[in-house]
Amino acid sequence: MLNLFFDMKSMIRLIALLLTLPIITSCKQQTQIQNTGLVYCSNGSPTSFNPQLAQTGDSLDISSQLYNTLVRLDPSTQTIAAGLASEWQVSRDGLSYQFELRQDIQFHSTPYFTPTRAMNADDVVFSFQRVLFPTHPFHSVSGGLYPFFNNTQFDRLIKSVKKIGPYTVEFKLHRPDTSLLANLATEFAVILSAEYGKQLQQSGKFTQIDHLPIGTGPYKFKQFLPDNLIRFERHWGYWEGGTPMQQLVFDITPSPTKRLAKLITGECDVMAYPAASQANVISNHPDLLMNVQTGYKVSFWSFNNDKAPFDNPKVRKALATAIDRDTILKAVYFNTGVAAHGLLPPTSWAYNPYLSDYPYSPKQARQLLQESGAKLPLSLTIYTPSGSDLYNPNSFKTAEFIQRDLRKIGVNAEIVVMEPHHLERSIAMGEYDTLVSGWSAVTSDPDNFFRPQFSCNAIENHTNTSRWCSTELDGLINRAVKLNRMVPRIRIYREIQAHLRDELPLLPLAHSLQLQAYRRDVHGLNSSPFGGVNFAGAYRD
Amino acid sequence: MLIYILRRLNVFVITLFLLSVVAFLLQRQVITDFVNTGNIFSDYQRYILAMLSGNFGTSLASGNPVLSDILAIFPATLELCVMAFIVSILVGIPCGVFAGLSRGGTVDYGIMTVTLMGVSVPAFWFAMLLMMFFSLHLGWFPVSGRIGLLYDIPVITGFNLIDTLLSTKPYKYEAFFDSLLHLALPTLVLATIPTTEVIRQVRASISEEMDKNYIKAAQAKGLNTFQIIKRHGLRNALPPVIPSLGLQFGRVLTTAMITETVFSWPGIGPWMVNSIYLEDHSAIQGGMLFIAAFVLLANMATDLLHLMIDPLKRNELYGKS
Repeated sequence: MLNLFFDMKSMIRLIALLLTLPIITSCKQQTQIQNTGLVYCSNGSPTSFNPQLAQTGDSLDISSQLYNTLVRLDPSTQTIAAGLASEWQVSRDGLSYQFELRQDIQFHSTPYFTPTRAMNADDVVFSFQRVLFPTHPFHSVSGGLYPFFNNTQFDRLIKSVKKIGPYTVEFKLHRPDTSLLANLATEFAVILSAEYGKQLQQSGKFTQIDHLPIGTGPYKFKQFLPDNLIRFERHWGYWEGGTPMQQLVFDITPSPTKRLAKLITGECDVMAYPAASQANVISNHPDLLMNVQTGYKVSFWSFNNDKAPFDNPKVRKALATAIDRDTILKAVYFNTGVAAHGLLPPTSWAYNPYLSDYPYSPKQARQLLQESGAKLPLSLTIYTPSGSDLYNPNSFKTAEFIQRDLRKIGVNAEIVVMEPHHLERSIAMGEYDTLVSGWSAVTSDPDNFFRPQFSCNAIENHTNTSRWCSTELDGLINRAVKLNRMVPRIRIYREIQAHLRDELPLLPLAHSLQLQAYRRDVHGLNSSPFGGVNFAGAYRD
Repeated sequence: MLIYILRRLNVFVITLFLLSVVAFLLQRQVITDFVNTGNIFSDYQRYILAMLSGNFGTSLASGNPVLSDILAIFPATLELCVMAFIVSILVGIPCGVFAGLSRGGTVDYGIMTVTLMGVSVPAFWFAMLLMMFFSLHLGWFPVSGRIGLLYDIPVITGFNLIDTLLSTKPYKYEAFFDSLLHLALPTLVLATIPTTEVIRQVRASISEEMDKNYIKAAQAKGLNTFQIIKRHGLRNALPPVIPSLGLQFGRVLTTAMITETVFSWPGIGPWMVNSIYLEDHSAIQGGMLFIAAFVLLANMATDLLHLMIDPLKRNELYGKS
């Protein structure tokens, strides 16, 4: 048995072989396989493969590879353009939208499903009815929660979705709402296959529709290993023409440091969400390129308005005045963000430039706190997610700075760090005093900022983290979307911003710039200002 | 021989039993699939029966049975550990022999200094250092994972080196070398500890053997050092080293968890760490029992191997020495 080791010569030969072979072969062989596909270092496992159910940004990375939407946002002009629907008409009263569908759109053909027909009106009706109507056989599948449609009150807006002709669909609305098209253009409003649904319904495997996806997008699903990888394959029948690469792999890498390391060694071609602190390294590296875009994102510090003493506006203002936001911008954002004076980024058309901010002043903060009548010394908890988000590179570090600033005014803060999935539970229970959080908008419509953060309905959807509910604000938010004309809409949004500035249910901290890093030989990437990346036309040169 | 095996099995079963009692008592502290009825004995009975039938509960995170999750992941860890042991034997035995032969000499001091450094270096730090130099600076090796992700290799055995060769893909040899490249750095890190152990044991064993009379007789016959080592020295010096290798297995598996986490090796290490983050109690528990049982099994196996190879040990067993 041990004779193997006694033969020194063969042993030495074996060692030499093992050591040299990989080095010799590695250099030239790599390129061949690389020409077949791209690797994207994504930041987390998707919770499901159906964007309709999605809440986090993770799931959205897969959306534009697998699915298409009726309409979409033109990347250059930010206006609504044709997607699966080639044209649409709005009735004069604004209550009915009629979409004409393209007739040449094929669904994915995979080992688990083979489509027999092209996409038609049935698929559109199937997809939206699932979200909207509890009577739909798939409505309660996978939890039956559709956070995006709920938060934007899409489900309360649509009265019916009907098939008018084989390729014509009509949406009927309860009330006119100008944000409908912007909502349909988001990566949440995807079109599923009704035929696939019917097949699953017959075999009783309802949940499969959300785990083994069938869509019309440029890539089709092949394999998913949780916390490891997602493998996609080219969809040959893609309606917009050939997808250049045979395969696309998402390498799930939660740590941004590791994502960057993989990008540098070439194990990844595109990297999701580089950390703010890495911007310098990336722009100085000869093989890497970086995209910078103004994102529709904001980070803020929410006060739990359900809890005393945070229901007292004076306490909120005192705490806000105590925070040195410039330091946070420098130390947490590494200047990849701009100071937030309100929820809306300055680039939004509804931004109100005439509002004054709360300047940093510990002295005034202490005084305000004393006047507020709250029981002193005040102690509070700051809940914060671990890791980085689109809107905040490091929520925990932000919380630490807030903690430090609060100590200066004699407020004792305890930081509670939680893994995002767990934090969601805590948010649902409302057990925090304050929360370092934020918002990444999915449409450029200002409604997408105010409704999820401050409408009463959004409390149960866990996006209204300040648990703010006032009939006055709800009224304003609802009035704004009914208006078709820009000027009166802007007027209402400015009023909303003034109202929020006075009430201060949360303290806006910063708007982050959106970064995307990729290797120099990757071309044709298409990233939206809302975080997602589209690989339809991407290739390696 | 048979009696020894039975005795060894007996110890194995008793250790497993104690382990399961500890795990069971820990489990009672947290809420899991097993309902507490108040009667600790009947609870334990139910628990142990479930464990024996392979039912470790259901993972909260994945929704799959814990055992199937472990079985899917564990080959990756095992592949790494096996490679580390192979490297440690290939490197450790020659180094140990050289050190043992020149006991007190420069070569000995040189080898022992490096060995001491190897024992003292923290695995995660060494791993990061290697990664920075060989991957990020020189670009020779990948920083993470088991294989380039564009290689789509179907899982057959779970061992990538075998699976790549078994696959029918046109790029199977490229894929094989690519997975060797991915193995290189983690193996190097993981091999440090068993290698140092092998060197020290072989060195002690060899220098002890070399003083014995039969070696002197061989020298008198006119054999050169290489022949003596090959024909006599190693044959007697190596077998006593085997059980200590078995004992190393537990340590290697622990280090493997750290190494895997640093290199994003999709093995049991990151899986356990992730389960801890998610407070997935059945997964933590199942993983713990599985690893512990595996280490015990490996210890027992090396003991039996030792028994088969080393006649002196058998004599000890029968009270003949």
